[in-house]
Amino acid sequence: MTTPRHNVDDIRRLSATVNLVVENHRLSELCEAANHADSFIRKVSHIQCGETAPATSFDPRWK
Amino acid sequence: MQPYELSVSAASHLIKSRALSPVELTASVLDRMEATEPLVNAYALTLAENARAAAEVAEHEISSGHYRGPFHGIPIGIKDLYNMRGLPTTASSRVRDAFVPTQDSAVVEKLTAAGAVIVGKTHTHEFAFGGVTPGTSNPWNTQFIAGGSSGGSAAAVAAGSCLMATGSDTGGSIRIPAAFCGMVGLKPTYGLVSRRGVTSLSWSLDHAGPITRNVADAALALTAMAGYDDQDPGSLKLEARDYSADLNGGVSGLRIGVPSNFYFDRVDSEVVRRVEVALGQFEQLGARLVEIEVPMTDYVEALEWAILLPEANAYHSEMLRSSGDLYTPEVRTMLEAGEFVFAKDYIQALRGRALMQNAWRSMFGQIDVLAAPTLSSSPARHDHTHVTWPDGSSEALTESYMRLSAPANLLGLPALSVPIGMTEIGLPIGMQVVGRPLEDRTVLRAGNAYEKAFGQFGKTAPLFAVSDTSGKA
Repeated sequence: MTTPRHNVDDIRRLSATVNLVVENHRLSELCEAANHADSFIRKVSHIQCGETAPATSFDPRWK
Repeated sequence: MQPYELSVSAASHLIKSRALSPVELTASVLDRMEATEPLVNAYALTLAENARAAAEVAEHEISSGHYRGPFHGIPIGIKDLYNMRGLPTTASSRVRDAFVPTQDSAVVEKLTAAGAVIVGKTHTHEFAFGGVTPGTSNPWNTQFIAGGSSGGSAAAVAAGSCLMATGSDTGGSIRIPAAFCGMVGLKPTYGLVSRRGVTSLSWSLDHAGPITRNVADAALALTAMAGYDDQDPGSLKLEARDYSADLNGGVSGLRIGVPSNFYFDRVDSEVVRRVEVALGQFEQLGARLVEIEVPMTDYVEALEWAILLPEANAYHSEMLRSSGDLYTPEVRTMLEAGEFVFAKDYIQALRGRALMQNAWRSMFGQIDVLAAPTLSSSPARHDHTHVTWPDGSSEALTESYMRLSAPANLLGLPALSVPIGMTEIGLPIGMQVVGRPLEDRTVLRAGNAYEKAFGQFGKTAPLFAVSDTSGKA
């Protein structure tokens, strides 16, 4: 298990900062969803990308 | 056989030779729709009168010697994510209840120009964000889901209430419902089919494509739908191709990669057994099976979610603020969760995708296509929200359904799901064939070879009503 990166207070504060209306009764559910998504996403930091430039637009063709 | 049971290929042959009238075919499909919709609920909007009028026009044109091609006079469904001029395009969301586009989507333009008869707009999981399509039932047994997000399209084709339908696929949304409903689903190479006028879920993962009853129909549909569009930034500038051209080339000598990792992990044993049989059948046809370790699979879910969530959130950002309470709670929460993905993770995911693309390019040096289960399990019952695995762990349906299909979205590779059999209780199982970019014809050729030899293809579902609890098909 990984330590959750989001907590309810942060979700409340961040939501207010970006003008996203999250009623109190939905805060814990949203926090749980954000942490669940993050449990997948945080793994990207383990990828050894080296000098691979960020892809600004995706092109499926092999060049 | 009733006209609604015909494939696009068979119906178009009959229409071209004037052995079947588009009016007669459309009437048969509309009758079937009337009979099946109370059980399946594939359509968000039915267009019976428009369809009858379009069929009359098609019949007049064909009888006057102006045959437009294989979709002329063919009844089709359009996923309610694709804009149609003057008609509501709701994306199955109350947020879009009042949205009536003034222009057709590129694909609707193309199919209309090809003479297709649009019989209705099919249900999607709200904004294509989910693998279930609540409210739509699986025509093989209505106690089970059709899958999603293009669930209405797959259910309609399977039920016989259209001969082909459009879908969209961001993490499997064409292949998932196609597999669950026993149909063929094609996610083409990224950029082959324009997404102009198709509501976006995630710009760099979205693909448009067809759901059909057989592989030949998928090739015809791709030929009709593909083409460069300067209004879709992802569109590839290529010459027009006939995707039916190599269809009967067979698989002799084709190197089919059989994954030794990932694609058979946490997969229902019934699905594994059926896919193993299908792989053996490919070998009987002269294909060479090559065991292959698929690279970077540990990162598939990380990359998919790290890209999908922020891109979806960016698209929905204003609507979440102005009309948040009109979303279903589940989809609203997931879209809002995208607000909290760190920018560095999104950038890292884009870089990781580039690395994965290179690694898969090397893998495809040893194989021509990869064959694997489309889905980790068979369809869930309507009231289930999770898949429970033998070790006691559980997985949310959409996450489980996307797991095996997402790599082809991340890399933009052509991927074809074909039906390969049924579970013990009569629910379809699919296998996907994934190819190199722009080798859509190769995956179609492989699928067609399998279909011709061992096909479970082209059948409309028998439609078991909810009251039938036997589950036997």
